[in-house]
Amino acid sequence: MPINPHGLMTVRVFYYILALLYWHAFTVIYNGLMNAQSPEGYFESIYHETFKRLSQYVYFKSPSYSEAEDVVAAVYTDFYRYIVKKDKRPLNVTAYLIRMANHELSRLYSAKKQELSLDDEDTGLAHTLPADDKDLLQVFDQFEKDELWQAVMRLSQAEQDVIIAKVRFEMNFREIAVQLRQGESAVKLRYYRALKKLADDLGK
Amino acid sequence: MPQLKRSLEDHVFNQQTMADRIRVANLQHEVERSAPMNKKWFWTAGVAAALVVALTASLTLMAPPVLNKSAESVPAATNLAVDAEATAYAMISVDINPSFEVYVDEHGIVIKSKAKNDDAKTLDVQDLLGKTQEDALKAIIERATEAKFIDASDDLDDYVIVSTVILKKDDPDAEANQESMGAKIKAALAEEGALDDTTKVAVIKSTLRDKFAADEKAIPLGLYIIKGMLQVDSDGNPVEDDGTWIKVADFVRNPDALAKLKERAEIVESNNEINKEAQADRQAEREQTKDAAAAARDAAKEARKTEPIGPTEATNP
Repeated sequence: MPINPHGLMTVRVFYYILALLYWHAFTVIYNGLMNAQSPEGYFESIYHETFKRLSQYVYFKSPSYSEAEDVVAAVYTDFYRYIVKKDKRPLNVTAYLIRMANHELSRLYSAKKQELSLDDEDTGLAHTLPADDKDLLQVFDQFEKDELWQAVMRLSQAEQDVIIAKVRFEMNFREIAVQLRQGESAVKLRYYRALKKLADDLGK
Repeated sequence: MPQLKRSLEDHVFNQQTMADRIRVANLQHEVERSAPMNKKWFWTAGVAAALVVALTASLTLMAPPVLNKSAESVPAATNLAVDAEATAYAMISVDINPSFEVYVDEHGIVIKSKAKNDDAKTLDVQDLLGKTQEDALKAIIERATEAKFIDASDDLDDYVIVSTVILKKDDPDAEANQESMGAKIKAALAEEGALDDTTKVAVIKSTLRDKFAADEKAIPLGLYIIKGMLQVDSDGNPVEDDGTWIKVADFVRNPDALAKLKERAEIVESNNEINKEAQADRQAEREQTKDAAAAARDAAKEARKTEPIGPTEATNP
């Protein structure tokens, strides 16, 4: 029995329309779930969840902390305008933000973070350093925050980097060493020397 | 938490400061795009309507809906502009001529800046959004100097009137916060290099009442305040209001008015060591010239004393 071509076409059109309706229903439900939170609420939660991680990442890719702050501010601003406000919801937000940061960094900077002096490598002094820095940090509790900040600004860039990474971002020496592409001993030595220099400066 | 960590958290990647900065940048972006957004809305609606008509009129199958639809909101420009003022914590009026109003939040970050007269509109202050109040004031003074509204090349003092007002009337800490704001502004302007040696800034604490009165009369707050100083004479008697408004430059040329300003305001001057030395050198030169002129006068006087009054044998044999 010959197949009626018009009938076949009608069936195809019918199934195609059905598929489209299912697809449409799925997208409506999906968007509804994703957009249940207001854009501002979504952005706030993303901002607080990812701030430390992104700041840390950008910090080690920028020549200085102030430029790193500019990059982070630009990334979040663009994220809000072009992603959140347009109802887009990336699955892995942190990775997305880091990709955005890389674009911003490659656009702005070719300078790398200042590396620690090679003199600090393999000095064999790591075993003389304290096990932790709690006692040393307590020395600074008697000073005002602004006074401490001014003293930190008087340190060299490399010293500021390790102090900010260790104290502000709470990274361990191994993590800092990876970021700075230096040995762990060199980083540790630089850190404790910087703390001592800071204490001597404030003690004057 | 160690104090060093607290200090670094305040100054390096301060989450709150960064959030304020992002909020202000987005606010500015919304203001900039809101006017053309209305036209875009109508175009989009018109094209969408035409497409719907075309689709329903034909038997063509629909394309799948886009997963991430663009949800264009339509904030009105005027609403956003009012929102910035409505949410501002304080306002700083800067009167040179030109005159500006700078609105800041609780952290002293600029969320809106407004040009108050035609001269002010010639200076671009939109990039002040997101800056600290101190940096914004320095930028305004610098731009006014570059545009020759402040003449730094002469020896005459130029005055800038900076009036602060706390806009949140129910804030129990308003007075303390206004003091703190004034102190920060003075400290920033007193930094070396912030002001030219002939530029002086008069920082005045003002009230909401003054602000409303100035708004009602549609004049900048600083000009309203200095006008008020002229409405009482040196004996405290009221002076008839002639309905005119005085410019800052004209006001400070009047010694009595300047004295009243110095009583009411705290004056900030340049702390620039290089400029101070140059100023001292100029002062020394003026003193020398004055002394030389006085010596010459004295010598001439002496010479006239020793000259005979009448004719002598030599002149009248």
